[in-house]
Amino acid sequence: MAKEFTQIESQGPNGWTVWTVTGRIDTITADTAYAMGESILQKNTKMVLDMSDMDYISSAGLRVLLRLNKLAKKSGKEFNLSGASGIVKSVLEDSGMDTLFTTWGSLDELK
Amino acid sequence: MTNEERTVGWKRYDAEMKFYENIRDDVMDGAEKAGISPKQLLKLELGLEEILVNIISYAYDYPGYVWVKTSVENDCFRLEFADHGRPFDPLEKDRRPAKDLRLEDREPGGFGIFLVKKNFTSVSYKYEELFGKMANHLILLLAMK
Repeated sequence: MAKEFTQIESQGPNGWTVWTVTGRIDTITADTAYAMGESILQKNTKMVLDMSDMDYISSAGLRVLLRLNKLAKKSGKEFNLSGASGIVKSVLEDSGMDTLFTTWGSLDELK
Repeated sequence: MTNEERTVGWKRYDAEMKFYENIRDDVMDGAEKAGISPKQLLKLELGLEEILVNIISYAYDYPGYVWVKTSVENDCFRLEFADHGRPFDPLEKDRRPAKDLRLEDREPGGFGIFLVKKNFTSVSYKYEELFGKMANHLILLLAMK
């Protein structure tokens, strides 16, 4: 059974704001996810997406990450990814996204 | 195979975004019942989402149908799509985003079919008569385990 889509904002180490998405970023959840990422980026300078509880991402999800990355770059902010595994990790790698983003194995590694 | 035989086993849906989740759940439930592994189930969803959303979004300028058929063939799950929209062969060219563009400048739409080809055992396309008209017919095969 697929995990339910939820997202939470919290404070992480070293001034990072953590955006935790559980479940998936797909065609259905993409707009809601983008709105949350955008709102966190507007209020904070360093945002990391914690993907450790995500079990699925599609190209609709990749578009969300790309749009937020553009937004972060434009406003001189940082947007990193953390904790991807399984098909989420392989989709990031297959699309070359892992080279565009700074990626962390887990939030504990964040500098 | 007669025309009638070729239309057995298909399910027809309105090609509209509001039915996307119904179609997805029908296919995923069928695949689970057929015994596909959890890892392959996620890959199946990836193919289903990329192709189905593409058909729903771009195939028609008017309300149309999408037909979906699933079956098990040897050790593979077979997923087929058909529509009567404008002819579109997703395999026609390498749709990976151009290498010479910076990744952040690429049009991410091209990722979809690239991910499907990467994750599925085979993807094939025919433009042929189905359900009384010329149709896009896409066949995806994915290992069950």
